Amino acid sequence: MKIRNSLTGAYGLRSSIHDCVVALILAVAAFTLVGASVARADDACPKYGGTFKTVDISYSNLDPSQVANPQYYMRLLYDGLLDFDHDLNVVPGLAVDLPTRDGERYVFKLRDDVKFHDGSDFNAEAVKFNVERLIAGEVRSPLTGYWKKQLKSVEVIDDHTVAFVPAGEWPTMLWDFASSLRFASPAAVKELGVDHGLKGAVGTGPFMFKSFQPKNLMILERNPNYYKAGLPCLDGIQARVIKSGSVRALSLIKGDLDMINTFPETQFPQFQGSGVIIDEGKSSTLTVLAVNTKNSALADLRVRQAIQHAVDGKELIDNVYAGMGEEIASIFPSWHPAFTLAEELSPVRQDVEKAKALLADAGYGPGGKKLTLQLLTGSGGAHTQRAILLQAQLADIGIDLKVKSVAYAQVLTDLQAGNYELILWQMLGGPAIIDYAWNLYGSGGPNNFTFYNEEGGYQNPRAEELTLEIAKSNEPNEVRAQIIELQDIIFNDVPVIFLNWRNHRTARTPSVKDLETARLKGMEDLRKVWLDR
Amino acid sequence: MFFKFVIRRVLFSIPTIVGIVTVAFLLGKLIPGDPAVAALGLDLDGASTVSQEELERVRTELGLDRPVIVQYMSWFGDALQGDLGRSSVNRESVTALILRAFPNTMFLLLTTISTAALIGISLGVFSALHRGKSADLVARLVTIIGVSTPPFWLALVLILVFAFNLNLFPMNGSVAEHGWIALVLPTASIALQPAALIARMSRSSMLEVLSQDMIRTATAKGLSRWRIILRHGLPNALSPVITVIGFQFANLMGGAVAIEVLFGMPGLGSLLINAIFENDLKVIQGVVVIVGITFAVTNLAVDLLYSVIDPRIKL
Repeated sequence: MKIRNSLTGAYGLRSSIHDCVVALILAVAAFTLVGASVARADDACPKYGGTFKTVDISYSNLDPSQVANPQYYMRLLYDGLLDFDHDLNVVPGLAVDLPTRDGERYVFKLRDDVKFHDGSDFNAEAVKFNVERLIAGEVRSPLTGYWKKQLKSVEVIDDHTVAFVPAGEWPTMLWDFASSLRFASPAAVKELGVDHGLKGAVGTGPFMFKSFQPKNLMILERNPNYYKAGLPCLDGIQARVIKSGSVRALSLIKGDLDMINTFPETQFPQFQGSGVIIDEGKSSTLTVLAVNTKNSALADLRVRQAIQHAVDGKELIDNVYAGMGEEIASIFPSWHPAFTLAEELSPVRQDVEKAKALLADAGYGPGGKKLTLQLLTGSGGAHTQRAILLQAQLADIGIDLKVKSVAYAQVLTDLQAGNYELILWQMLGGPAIIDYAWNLYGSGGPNNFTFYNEEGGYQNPRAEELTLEIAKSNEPNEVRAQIIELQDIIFNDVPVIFLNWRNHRTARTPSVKDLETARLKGMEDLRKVWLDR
Repeated sequence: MFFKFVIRRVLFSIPTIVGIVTVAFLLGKLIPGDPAVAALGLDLDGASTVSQEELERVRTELGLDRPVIVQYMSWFGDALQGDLGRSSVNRESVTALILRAFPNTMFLLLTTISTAALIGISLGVFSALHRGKSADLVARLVTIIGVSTPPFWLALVLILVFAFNLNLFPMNGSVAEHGWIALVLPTASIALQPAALIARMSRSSMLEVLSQDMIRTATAKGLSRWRIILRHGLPNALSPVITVIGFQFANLMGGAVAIEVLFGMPGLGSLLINAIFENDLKVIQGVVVIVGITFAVTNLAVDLLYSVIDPRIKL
């Protein structure tokens, strides 16, 4: 047996009896001094204890059906049948393994050692209860429609076996299970009713509900019975909302906070010399100009191509994102399993002369009509900076871009309703292939706001075929050829003007250990994080 | 007489409050964005899973598919019974949300207005007593700076100096977490402007009173300087100052919004801002109604205070 001494970092087995005695005395002394917080039987964490303080986990409600931003922190309170690792690979969670196929059913074997925070058992009935509650719309959730569409039924086979029957093909099933299906205690839900998520929130996750003020403060405490032995390392989590970027940054530097993951790049200089560690994730957010292809000018392919050639995404990365971004090289982000470097990138690179020629060919510019377009964008910060740069870039080819800044909610409403010409839009997708293919470019795709291949919008039947073919699989190698072809078509058809990928980043104090900045915002795994204070 | 006055004023307040309620409802309707989208807890990143059917279902659930006048009458009827509805975002009772936030805002406002009144009246009287001297000039300069300093800017400076550099106060304004010390910086941030305005009014009012015959008479009678000021000068100078204090108290409710957000205080301001960003109509309407009623009550209190301070004023 090895006894680890956290003070010296040495291991105390020695060959001689004398050394053994000395080591034992030292170990006992150290253990006594530092207390039980140093090491527990399983030793999963180098150090236990402390409350991790962070910001902007701004939930209105802590029910597992909610999709707040960032939604993935729901993993603090709840678990799913499936989980995901740092590279976004789907791994078992409350299920002992990935599901097996039994005819049209997907069968999950559940762990039998899991209890909800209220002491009730996690079992197949609890799974069924939660799924049916979500599908029935008993909770107001954006997930309801999706799950209702995808899932035909859920069946309890025995206490620890549950089967899901999909309504049809469901290529992204595993990811959907891992990212959005989490379980609350049926007993707690029945007891609290609509107040579940407000006055209490009972899951099986690494932390338990302590107190909650919607959009203000969430305090969680360690779940001592978490099914992953020895985790979490922290005693608790406190997440508050601090709307002022300056106060957030000062609080972090001062040590009132341990980590922040929402801060404008303009604050980087503030952190210099403070000891704060800024860590970059991967290109998580796609930034585009959504183009309304129903608009008479923008329906013209040459105009869209001209705009694409006029913009310089790199300039935006350098000037707005402080270099923390990536240029477009594929319709998928560089971390994505389906990332396929496009052989021909010139369609999505700046070429002002070509842009002018295309515009002239379409009848705009010197000697032709003047093209004036309206850009709808959110207000403040990076929204405004990007809009101003784009305005200047388009002015170089003679397009007069009128910028209209509105509330974020209005951007979304107008985007969905098609009440726009150009919209500056950011999109965050997961590792499912469909997120960056059919969802964006397929007719009926939930994020296809440009009317591409939809009635009245720009048509390309081949692109439609390809998106449907790609949607049938979530294995990139199975549909690689289609991805390559679709990518070329999209870069050429320009249903969206590609700008860049913006990197997700975190800033933390040096005392925060084992925090890996995730691929996507809010996916940091806080179970393994420990504080070295 | 007194009670008659109170009853009359309360009755007069009813049309005002009905007006406030109506405007609150209509303003809510004018806010851009779809409340159903907000109710689903979406942002641009989370939009991908929502179908049109889902949005329609939620619109029906929220009663947004009914004619506006029907929505108004239904909401108004419920509001009269103290039911301001439920938040469309998290289904919590709006009345409960307001009851939780209201005391926090009131604590902030009462400490602020008390501080502002104390400093403002003292500075104004001091300035009046030293009229034309360098002390008066300094005091007037201070009031000009006070009036001209935006509270949100002052708040950031105070945070930087006293919370960050000197570590004397917390950056967060939560009394529950840090105790009453948490109110110091938020109070200082919004107290400066009303203090300056109260000081200016106190100075001019005091100067006017000090030039009156009764002060000369009191001086001739051999009363001490402080007795003249405190017994005869100040009470007579206070009436217009009370008006300013009442007006500033009402004004502070607006100023508190920015300060609460900046200091992360869970008051009405934070509640309102969140509700506006989330298009949570019921909460917006509820907060506006409560703020409006507080305005009306404050005005009534100021009117009643006149007669307490100056018995010559007949109600």
